[in-house]
Formats: sequence, C-alpha cells, structure tokens
Amino acid sequence: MSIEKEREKILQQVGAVVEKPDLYRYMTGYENLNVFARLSNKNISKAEVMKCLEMVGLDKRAKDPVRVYSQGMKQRLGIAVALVHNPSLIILDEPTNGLDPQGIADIRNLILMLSKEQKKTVLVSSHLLTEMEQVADSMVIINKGKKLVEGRVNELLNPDKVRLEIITDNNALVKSLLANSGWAKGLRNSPDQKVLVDTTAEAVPLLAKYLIEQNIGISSLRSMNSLEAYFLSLTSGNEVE
Amino acid sequence: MRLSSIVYIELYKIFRKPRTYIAFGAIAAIVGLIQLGFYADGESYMKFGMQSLSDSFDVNGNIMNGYLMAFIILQTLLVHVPLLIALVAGDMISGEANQGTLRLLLTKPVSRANLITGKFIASSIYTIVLLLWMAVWALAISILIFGADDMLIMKSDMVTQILASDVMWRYVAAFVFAALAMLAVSALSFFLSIFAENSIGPIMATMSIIIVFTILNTLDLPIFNMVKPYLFTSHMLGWKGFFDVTVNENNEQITGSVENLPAVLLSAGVLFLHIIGFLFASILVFKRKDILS
Repeated sequence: MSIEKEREKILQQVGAVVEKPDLYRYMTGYENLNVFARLSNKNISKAEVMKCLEMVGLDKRAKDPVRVYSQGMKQRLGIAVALVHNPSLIILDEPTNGLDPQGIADIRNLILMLSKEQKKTVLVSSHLLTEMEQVADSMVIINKGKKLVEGRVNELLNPDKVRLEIITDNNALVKSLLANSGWAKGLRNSPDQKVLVDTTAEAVPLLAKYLIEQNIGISSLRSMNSLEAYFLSLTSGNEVE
Repeated sequence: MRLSSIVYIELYKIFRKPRTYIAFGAIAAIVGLIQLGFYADGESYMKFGMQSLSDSFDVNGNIMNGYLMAFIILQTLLVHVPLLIALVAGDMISGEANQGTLRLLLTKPVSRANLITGKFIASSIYTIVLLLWMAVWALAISILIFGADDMLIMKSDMVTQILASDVMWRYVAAFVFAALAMLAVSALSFFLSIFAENSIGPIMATMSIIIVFTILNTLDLPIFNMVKPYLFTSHMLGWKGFFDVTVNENNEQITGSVENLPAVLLSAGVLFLHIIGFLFASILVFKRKDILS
C-alpha cells in the first residue's frame, strides 16, 4: 500500500499520539473523544466511546472539561483518541513525557494491556530507556538519525553478559589491579572514578572474591545489564561484547 | 472521509467555543442600543433630518419605520461586522495550531484538502448564521417596534421613496449580497489563519487589510483608481444598490426595479471570485504546510 495514494485507508488502521496530546480544552473528555471518533471515518457508537474512556480509566471524568485534567489524564485521553477507532497499529511518541511516577506506571500498564490482551502492535518512541525495557519486545536504537541496532530486546540484552559498576574505598588501586590481572580484557573506561568491568554472570562472584582477597573494601557492586547501559555502551563506542 | 462529517464536526467546535457568542451578543447589544435610542429620541432626530425636505414637501405617515431603521442599522453595522467574523474565521486554523490539535487532527484518515474545505464551509455557515441573526434583530424586531410603512431614504442630492410592498424583497437581496461581502472577509481571514500560530495575527491582519483598502477607495488618485475595481472592499457596500430604484417619465417609481442592476451583479461577481480565490489559495498553502505543532 502506498501512503501517497491510500493515505486515508492506511490511517484508518493507525492510531497516534505525537509527543503530547493537545486536545480541545473547552470540551469535555467525552466530547473530545467523540470529535476524533467521528473523524476516523467509522461508525462509532456512544457506548464504544465510553468503553474506550473506561479502558484508559477516564470514564468517571468523562463529563469534566479537559482544561481541568492533569497531565496524566490528558495523556491517557490522547491514547484513547489513538484507540477509539480500533486501529491495529498504535504509534506513541514520548507517551510518558511530563508524567509523575504513578502516571508513568499507568501508561506502562496500558501499553502492556494493549499489546498482551488486545494484541495491538504498539510502536513507542521514547528516551526513557528503563521504561522501554519494561514494555518492549523489539527495539531499534537510533542515535543522531542513524540506526545503531535493531532486534529482540531479550536477545540484545543477553543476561549472561553483564557490565559491573564497582565502587570501592580505592578505585584507582582497583583499576590498576584489574589492569594487571586476568580481568584486564573486561576493564572499561569510565568518565568518573567508578570501575566498569564487562564479564559474564558466572564470573561476578569470582571478581568479588578476588577484590576481597586484595583487601579492597567494596561499597557497591552493581550489574548494569540494562537497556540504558546497552545504549550508553553503543553510543560511547564501548560496545558490550 | 465525507465532507459533510467534517463540516458537522467543525460547526460543533465553533459553537462550543465561548468566543463564538461574543459576535452574537455584540450584534444584539448594538442593534438594541440603536433601536432604544431611536425609540426614545427618534422623532426629534427625524425632524432635524427632514428639515430641508419639509420646507418643500408635505411628508405624512410613519417615516421612522422598521424598514428605515434596518437600513440605518445595516449601514452602521456592516462596517464593523468584519471584525466579528474575523474573530472566528481567523481562528479556524491558527487556533488549532496554537492548541496543537492540528497535528492530532492530521493523524486521522482525513485529507488536508477535505479538512480545509470542511473548515472553510463551517466558517462560512457561521458567517451566514451571524448575518441571519443580524437580519432578525435589524429588520424583524425593528418592524415589531417601529411598524412598517413606505421607506424614505435621504441621500445628499435626492430622496428615494420605496413603497412598503416593494421593500421586503430588496432586504432579502441586500442580505444575500451582504452575505457575499462578509463571506469574502471570512475567506480572507481564513486564508490568513493558515500562516499564523495564534488567532490575533489573522484577525488584526484582516482588519488592517480592510482599513487600508477602504482608505485607498476614498483617495481619488489615478494610481489607486486603477486598482480600485479589483479590491473586494470596493464592492462590499454594493447591497445599497438594491435600494436605488428606477423612475418612469412621470418621475414615478417603477416597482421591482433596481437602478443599476449590472453594477450590483458585477460587484457580487467580484466578491464571489475573491471567495473562490481565497478558498483555493488556502487549500494550496495548507497542503504544503509543515505541521510542527
């Protein structure tokens, strides 16, 4: 299908929220959703509109004007606008922007419900990598407009390989010890005084034991096997093996 | 997507906005004030106005009737109504851009050309409804208050008397013409709203253009005289032509006549071309517009 020739047909199958959902402040939540439902070129009943509001948890505030909605409620109403015509693809651009922790959790649960229960394809663009890690099955990392990597999240974030962040009572000494030992290959540059080591999950206890044997006082030993760590490793050129 | 659905949605949005009712309130208030003024003090005003005439003629009957009132009101108000029209038409696109809803609208299965045409039709319907509202207040309520009789229009060099039975159709025609004139203003304001991110700009720009063009019309200089026939403001007061009647060889009014109908029709044609021109220009510009907000 060509977006140029069959734009309307394609957009009937797509629902989108671009960055922040800007809605008509002088209308109620229900009226807003009803306006966008009518624009979707499908016969959508009042009951279906209300059901959509219920899905995003706004059914009890449907008659309130949008100007009194919190940022999180607006965000949820925006997602309802994207969902109201029952599209198969939902595009959400920075859906958790400006939300409090509860709002972020609500949106996360909503995305998971749409994906797992309603079997929708949800495409999320976000800078909040910890959030993405919790909801995404597949990902594409783009840096400065260039695609760096694409694949299944569980394959890219291999749990067998970890990056350790170590904080001790003498980080400089630890770096020197590791550089002159069998751990030298995994030692990574760190912009601050922390010690970064790439290794396998099985080798973590051995490394801890080695440091204790060298009379190093360990304050913190943390696995950074996260999407954020992976992204940073990609963008700083220090790719995880 | 069906155009009628877009028009319905846009009308719904227009009439849900509080600012829409400012124009209706303003017209009711201004017309009401004029009627109150004439009701309280109209007789002495008319006596003063008729002074020169009563020296030569014996004028009987209800001179200050509803028809004359409507003429006075239209003459006064049609200069200011463009501002009230621009208030809504100038907000049609810029208001959406300002709220950020334009981007969300365009994620829906609606073509840009249809969206802009639907919005244009909706703002045109608002303009026509506003004029109907004005007609009710200026004509119907004036007739209720002041009654109906022959209409006497005083001009600088002559007096025109139109029989009561020959007036109503002239008002219908005058309001149709006024609708064309106001639609041209609405179309201009709508076109300007595509370029703006808030509605103040297009409203101010519309009024500025009307003021500048009106000033050009009053300046009798050859360089301006060349462009005057092409300015829509030169034709906006063409509705008055329906109240110029033709007389026979006995200097009696010919019922149903209009003195210079071709000139009135030409003015209507120029206004219509402006409306169509602004609509097509709006579609062309909007199709290329980069929707950033």
